[in-house]
Amino acid sequence: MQYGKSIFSGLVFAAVFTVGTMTNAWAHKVISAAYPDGNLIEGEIGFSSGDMAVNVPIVITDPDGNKLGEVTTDEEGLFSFTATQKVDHIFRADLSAGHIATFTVLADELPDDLAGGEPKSSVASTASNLAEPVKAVVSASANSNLVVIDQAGLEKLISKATKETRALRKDLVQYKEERRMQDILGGIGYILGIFGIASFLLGRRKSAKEA
Amino acid sequence: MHIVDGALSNPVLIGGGVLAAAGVAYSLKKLEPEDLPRVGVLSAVFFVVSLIHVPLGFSSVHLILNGLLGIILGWAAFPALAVALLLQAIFFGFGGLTVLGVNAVNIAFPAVMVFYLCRWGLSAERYKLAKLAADGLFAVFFIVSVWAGFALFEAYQVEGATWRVSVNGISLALFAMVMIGGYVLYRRGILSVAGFWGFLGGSLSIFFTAIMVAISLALSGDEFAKAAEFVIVAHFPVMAVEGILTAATIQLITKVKPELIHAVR
Repeated sequence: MQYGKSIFSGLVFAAVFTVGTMTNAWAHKVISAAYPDGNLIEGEIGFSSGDMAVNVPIVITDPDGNKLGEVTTDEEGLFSFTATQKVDHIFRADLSAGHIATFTVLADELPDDLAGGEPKSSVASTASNLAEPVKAVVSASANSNLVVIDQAGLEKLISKATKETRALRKDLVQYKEERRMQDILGGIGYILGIFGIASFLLGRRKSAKEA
Repeated sequence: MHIVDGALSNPVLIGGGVLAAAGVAYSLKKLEPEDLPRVGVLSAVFFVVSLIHVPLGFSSVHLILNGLLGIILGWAAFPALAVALLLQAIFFGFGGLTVLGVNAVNIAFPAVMVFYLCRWGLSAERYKLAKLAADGLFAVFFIVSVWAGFALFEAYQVEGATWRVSVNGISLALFAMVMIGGYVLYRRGILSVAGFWGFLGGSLSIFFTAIMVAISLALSGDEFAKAAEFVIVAHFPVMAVEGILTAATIQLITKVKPELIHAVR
């Protein structure tokens, strides 16, 4: 008897050990996000447990299913892809065992100078498009008392702002994935409510039959 | 365990949906109004328990407790699991609406299987026979699962990626240890016959579920061996933990409130 009890405590220990050694985490789900920066799309794929998807091939297609390219995630689950067309980019990664990550970068988030559907864009027109607005800003600000910013300074500011937006986006994705206590309590409430109503209806039907 | 949207092909999704609807309809027809509170509570248990995920290697696992649900609820496990899965899909984007049917069948069908398997083992009228059958079932299950573990372990090693192999090894060893430990406890009389049936039912249901998930992935084009490797090997620790939990729960219930268990009535 004593021997058996020690085995039982051993089993309980084993069970607790199994659960305990793996740090507890709320629901596990594939998390993926992409952050376009100019024509460069950077993104990451991982699990809500914090593990990243390493060396996973990602296939990029447009909405019609035409393949735009293929990239592979690195050791940290990050990837980057250079967009050449201004179309919706659909990223799809098969992590196997029933885990699929799909996400879309909308055409609106990509710069206007990319070819709108045609792979070959005229480089000349792109360059002039880029240069003109900057010039306009410079001349307009030169007339008034505004601070003049040259192109390099402007680019620096933009890249700084982009970085901040990216950090914000990451936070937002993380926030969305969080499971909060009230969600779970709400779920339990729903379940009990559904079965409460079901039991009320069933009971009423039964008592109607008996009557 | 929850397959997500987009991982399965349409025929599998439709087939799963039809089967799940049939299961729910059949069990609702059989359901007695006084069973409903029990169904609701166990549905909530599943809802919470399967939200707590434990990362394990590449994937992560969570308790399912469908063996317990099957033994206590019988066919009523179908609506209980369907409702909980539906709410998980809506609230947490966990699983998905299109795969709801497949997930419900994958989890509820093994529960019903376990219900039929454990039903007469739990009602201890033919006591000796129940003991004998438990021994037999234990032997078969132990051999099959350890064989499956080893087969998949080997299959995996050919592919490479050494760090996960050790995880597989540990989970397989842990499972074997718990199985043997459970059997010793049962032999020594600390675990009652009903408790031992609960132990078997708890781990068997996970084994069945893992196989069904692997089959649904294989039907959609994933390579079966690879899908099975992920799902079955990842769930050896779950099988062990659920065996212990179900055994403890069933032993307690049979002692203090045996009428709670559908299989006994």
